[in-house]
Amino acid sequence: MNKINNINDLGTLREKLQSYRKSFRKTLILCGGTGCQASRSRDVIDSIESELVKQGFATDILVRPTGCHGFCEQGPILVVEPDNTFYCHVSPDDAEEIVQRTVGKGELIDRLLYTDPVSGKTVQRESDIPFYKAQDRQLLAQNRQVNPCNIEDYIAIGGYSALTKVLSGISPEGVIEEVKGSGLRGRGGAGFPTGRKWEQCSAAPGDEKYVICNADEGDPGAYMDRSVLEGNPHLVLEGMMIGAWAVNAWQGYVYVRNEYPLAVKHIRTAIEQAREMGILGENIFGTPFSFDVEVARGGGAFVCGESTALMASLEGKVGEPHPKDVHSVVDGLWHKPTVLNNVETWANVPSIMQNGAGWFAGKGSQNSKGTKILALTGHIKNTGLVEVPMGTTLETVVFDIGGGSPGKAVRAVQTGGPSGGCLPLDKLYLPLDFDALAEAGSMVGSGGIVVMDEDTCMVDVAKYFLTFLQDESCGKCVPCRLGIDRMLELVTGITEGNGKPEDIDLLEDLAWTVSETSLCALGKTAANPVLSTLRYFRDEYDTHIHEQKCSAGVCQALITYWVDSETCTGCGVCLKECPHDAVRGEKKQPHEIDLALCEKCGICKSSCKFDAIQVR
Amino acid sequence: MTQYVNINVDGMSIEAPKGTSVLDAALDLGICIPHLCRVPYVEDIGACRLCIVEHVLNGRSKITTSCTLRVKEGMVVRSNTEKIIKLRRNIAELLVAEAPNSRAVQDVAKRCGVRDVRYSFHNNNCILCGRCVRACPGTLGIKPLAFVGRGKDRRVETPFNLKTELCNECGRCIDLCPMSVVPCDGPMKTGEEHLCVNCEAKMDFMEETPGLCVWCYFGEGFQCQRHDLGTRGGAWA
Amino acid sequence: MSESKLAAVLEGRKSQPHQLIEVLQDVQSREGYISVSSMRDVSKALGVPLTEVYAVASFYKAFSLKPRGKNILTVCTGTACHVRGSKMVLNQATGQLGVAPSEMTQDGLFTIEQVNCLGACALGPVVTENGSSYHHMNAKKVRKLIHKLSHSSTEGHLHEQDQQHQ
Repeated sequence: MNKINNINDLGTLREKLQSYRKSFRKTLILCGGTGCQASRSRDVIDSIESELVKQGFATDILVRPTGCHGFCEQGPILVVEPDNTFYCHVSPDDAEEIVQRTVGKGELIDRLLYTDPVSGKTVQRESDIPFYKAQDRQLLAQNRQVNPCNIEDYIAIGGYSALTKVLSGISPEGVIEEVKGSGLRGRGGAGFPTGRKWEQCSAAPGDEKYVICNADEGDPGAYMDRSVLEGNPHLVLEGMMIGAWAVNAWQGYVYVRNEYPLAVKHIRTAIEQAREMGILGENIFGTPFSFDVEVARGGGAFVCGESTALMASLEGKVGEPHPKDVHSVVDGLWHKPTVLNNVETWANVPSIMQNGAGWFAGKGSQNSKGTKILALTGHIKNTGLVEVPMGTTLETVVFDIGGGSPGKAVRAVQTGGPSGGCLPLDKLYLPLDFDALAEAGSMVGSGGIVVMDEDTCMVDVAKYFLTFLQDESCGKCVPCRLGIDRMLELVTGITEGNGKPEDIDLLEDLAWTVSETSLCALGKTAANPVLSTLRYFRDEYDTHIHEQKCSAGVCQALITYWVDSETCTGCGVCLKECPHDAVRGEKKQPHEIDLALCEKCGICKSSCKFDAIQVR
Repeated sequence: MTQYVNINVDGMSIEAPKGTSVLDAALDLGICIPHLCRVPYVEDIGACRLCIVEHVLNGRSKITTSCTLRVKEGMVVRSNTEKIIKLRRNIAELLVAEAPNSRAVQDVAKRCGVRDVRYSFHNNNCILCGRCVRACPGTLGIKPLAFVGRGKDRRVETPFNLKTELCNECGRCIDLCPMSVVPCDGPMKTGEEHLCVNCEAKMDFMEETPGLCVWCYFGEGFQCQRHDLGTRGGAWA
Repeated sequence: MSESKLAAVLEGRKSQPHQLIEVLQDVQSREGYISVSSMRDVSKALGVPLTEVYAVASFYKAFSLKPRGKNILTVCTGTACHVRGSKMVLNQATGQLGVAPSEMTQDGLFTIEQVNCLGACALGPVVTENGSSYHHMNAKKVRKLIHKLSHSSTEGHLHEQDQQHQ
């Protein structure tokens, strides 16, 4: 790759690349995100490429492996441009037919098209699919236009033009004003106004300053940052560079959680390529701006998503948070002023500089501007990544975009990860807004939305989050370490039928103590899952305590498996499958479960073709 | 020349040397704020959370540990509000339920107002206060002790839990450890842990004269500097 | 760890204490775990006190201080997988193999690990094993998987194809 010496050269290169892309008759875009890769999308890409060669189309068809498209439930995904044809559940065996018919003859293969569950009809174009229609994919849409391992793709679609705009005449103060005016608030969970953060760091004394990208994304069930970093790493780099210009930093770090090997690989490749082209390094584009980035991997600690713990980890130490009486914008990495922002926050910066603060502020609600990427998971039809303007109601997200729970009613929606809370069905009118959700006892958090259906036990959910937090707590401070431990003890007792009515008061007192006195945000928000489930699902706690019953049929100590003798055909499959020899019965006679031997593993229930085994 | 700043603690205006923590400044003047993990002249980490105070700033109260809060001119701090007293009591309760086999922990709990323990007792022999780790001089600055593991698994250990040459057996860790002084009745067996009431008499006396604060000094029972000053007709009776 | 392997890991990182975590990551991926001798070597080369190396190695989940089994079964216990029943999958695995998570079976064949979200939520509950991934798992499927892995060749790999048709 050639070095770009000045801004004009970048423009020239961009034009050249754009006409190169247009020169192909068709472009086949294949999703290579971690989700689709788990469904063998790599094999799909390989077979498509070999079929193109076999059938003689290799020269006028461009194949582009990309990052996540977001519609994970339907993966592996293949999009054909310029027709905008959308194929889903593509397997390597479909390659031959796709190349022969769609590429060769322009024909549509019906069985690979998406079928609208409401109308029953197939849909050809991605933009017509209801899942995508209700979204505003400012950030995610770019994913399918770039191969993340090729910087030229990013340049071709206009990448780094926001940076050149800034370097061509916007002062650092000007950048900060623009970001402030946009109303961008941190996308990592805390929602702190980004412009203000940059302003504070810029004002802090010192010549050595740092910018950090927090790609630790510890919330289980959230993978927005992974998809942006995997699918469009240069977008994040460009944002960081603009931020570095604004606060006068010349060194940046991207801290990626080590469970994301593909994201680590892609950001490293992106940095290498940017360095080769002179987009990172000394005197970028011939201007006085110099900047470089290093990648650091996390060690597997949720607590390292907290800024002081992250910085400690970057310094090679144990990831323990520190008291923050002086903020890290003044005293951060190596005690120097540091701006730490989330992946999605950085990713929003280039478009803000390109289109202006007003454009960004025009979307969203009063105090929550712009769009937000959400990870919609759990008991939901359309699992995947969704991008909507802030202010969109949860109802829209869960039902219009997500399609609701398959076959069952939605019971609760959990937002904000382990620091957030569970909201019941009648609260889904609430908008995706930092303040509104916080008031309701939950939070927007990083954007993870887990949908839970009617067969979910909310006490079990509280136990799950407490177990998670107990595991991830650094253990330094008493309220978090001992408080979470005791809350878990109490909730576990309740799930085992040993709960007492006083337990609820004690839980609330503990929760209050932990949230007021913990050292860091992990401890301070640790009580949210318990508090929100107590607030909205109190009756479930009461049933567990007073009746020793788990109505959802989840808490192992309180349930029994039994065979419905009216439905049981006596086929004997459950008897054969049971690893504990707990099923008895004669052929063609209704079978029975011996409760003394039953270990409640659930294997019998999943083996029964007649749905004759129930849980009560 | 030491520079001083004026801060306000519980309505009293006091002078404190620049750079000290609010806790140190308060203790130097006999204002007791309960604490446990603090070791004089050694780095404060805010681990036990007993020294919490309400830091009043811009009309809002922020709860923070006084050992990590550096004094600033005009700072307003409250150490004995109803909220703080309740929170402190809850934290002390958690501590004594975890490690009742220490006189210091029992004293602190009683002093912070714990009257009954609502949790089942665990008989842990370390409260992870970190005094040993922070005060250990080590050899040439390299310490043999460190916090190891995370969360429930957190413990104080030497590398690989083996005897190491870095330890020069000075005994400072043992001197500072809250667990090294057992309750006067002796060590409590598992299953027989309870909230110790031996110093009840002293506590009752304190309760008769509210508004007096108590300064707990490890293993030496209760000492009240404020009380002493009060009986001598001092300013803060 | 052999001299040459160690040298490769430490290249460009000597006497840079802040590289400790990166170095330990590489040791972990090459050796499968971090041994006492590796920690001593790293301590010397980077100039980080041994106590601190030990503290860091024991703090982060990515590092295992004990050798791990041939087959590392990782069960995703993220929120989305949890509500879809990953607990039952984990219980089945630990019960069947008789070990707790992060412990190795007596015969050295298996270690069960838990991870909080692999990012493949549409396919949950997810279990990965030495690079291959298995989807929509339940107690029954994982029982079969463990059974197959125990009885397969010393290479211990199960082709993904077999799982896809469950």
